Amino acid sequence: MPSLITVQPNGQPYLRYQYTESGVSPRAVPGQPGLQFVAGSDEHDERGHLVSDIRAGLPRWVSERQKMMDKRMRKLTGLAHDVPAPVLEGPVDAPLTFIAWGSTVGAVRDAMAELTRGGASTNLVRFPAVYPIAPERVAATLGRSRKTMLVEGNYSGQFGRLLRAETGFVPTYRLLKYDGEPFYPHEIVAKALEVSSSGGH
Amino acid sequence: MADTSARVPPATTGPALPVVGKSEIRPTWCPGCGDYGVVAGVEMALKKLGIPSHQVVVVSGIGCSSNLPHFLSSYGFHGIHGRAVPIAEGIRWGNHSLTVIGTGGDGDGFGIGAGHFVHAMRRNVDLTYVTMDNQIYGLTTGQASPTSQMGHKTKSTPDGVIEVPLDPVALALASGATYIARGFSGDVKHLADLVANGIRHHGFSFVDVLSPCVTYNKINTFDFFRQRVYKLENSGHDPSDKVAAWQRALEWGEKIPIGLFYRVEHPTYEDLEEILHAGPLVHQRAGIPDPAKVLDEFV
Repeated sequence: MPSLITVQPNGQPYLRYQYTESGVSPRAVPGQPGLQFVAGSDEHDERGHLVSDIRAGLPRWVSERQKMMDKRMRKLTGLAHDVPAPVLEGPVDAPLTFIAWGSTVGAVRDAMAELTRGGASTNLVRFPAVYPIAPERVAATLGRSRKTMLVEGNYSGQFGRLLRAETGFVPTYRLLKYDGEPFYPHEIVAKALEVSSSGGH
Repeated sequence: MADTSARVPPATTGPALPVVGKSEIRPTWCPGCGDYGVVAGVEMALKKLGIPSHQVVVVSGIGCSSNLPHFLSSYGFHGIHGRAVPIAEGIRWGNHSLTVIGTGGDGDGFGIGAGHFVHAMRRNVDLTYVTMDNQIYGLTTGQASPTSQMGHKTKSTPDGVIEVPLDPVALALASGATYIARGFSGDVKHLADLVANGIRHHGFSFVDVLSPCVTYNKINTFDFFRQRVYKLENSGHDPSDKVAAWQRALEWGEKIPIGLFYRVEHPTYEDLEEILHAGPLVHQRAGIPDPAKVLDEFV
């Protein structure tokens, strides 16, 4: 297990929210001598002291607030590569690629097996993590797909919208279910056969 | 199983480490605010007990009074509204060798955080919760709070409050707190003793502090309380007598009791939670032997 502690006392005042390239700051844990800090909930400086109240509106602290936001948001860049990447399952050159996440993946896998038995080749790009999204990771999987079908258990295709906002990717088809019931494999099979018979490929 | 490769160094031996004092920043409360007396009382209590500052975590929610952790040299966690108590409980369960003090106001603790407050007392988690009770929402410039008295005209109640005020001491008695006191920020030494004894007490200690808001509450002022408060310890009250504690808790009017209402010894949550018998969780190895395998199964 990685240690919770990432900092040791060096005689200097400890900066819990120190500006770093990755945005992640060295962490002390209560109980460590000489590293006391306050974790402030409102916007704060590197030490943890609040930027609000008497500091609000002063040019130095206005710019400090922006720097702290920049540092905080840099963490997302790193995180987008730390979370599990999208995974391609099935034959690389299948004419239809399903896109799914969460428990819908199981129903899609069952549907793919049934389609294979019927002679139709499909594959799946599943997203073990839905956010943050690294566009190059998406390109590495979905970039090779031909026709794609988003399978999602909500009315508006929320993940599809997120994927489009973050990468510009738009699936060819969408299969959305919002009757409160989980997906059944036969529903996915039926939709896949429907689009293929309508001249998709 | 306890892991010998502790992640947090246990209490060190050697030269005495600094005890809690003031931090490098000054309070931003209004001049004359009751909360100055409370931070002084908490600091005095911790100095009196001689607990090194690195072994103390002061937690708060949101509100004027919840800025308090910033003004002490201990570890601090300035959390979100109404959540001082659950954060404090979590810190205790993460490392029950630490001294944990929850702080905040009447709105934070008895309004937004009322559910947390009640259940933490029922669990008898070994922490000390100090509320700065000014009977108003001060940070938002003067709206009625759960302890505002009936008829009080505030920005949110221009024709006067029409709800019965909550009684924090009675609520604590009903909820199973094992140390229940009321202090007054106009008597810092007395308050410091109540807080120090609360920290010493093995179990959930609640100290409700009458801490006037000099800007937005023109009814419950320092003078209002100075004319009314009397000390339980000078009036023959027996804090082991729960019925007597109830009778004193119901006194609120011409006379307002301060001091220790009730104290009882009862096993804490930490005593009864077997996982903690092997030592603080932070020194134990996390319980998932192969996290990658679990992650694969579920994602």
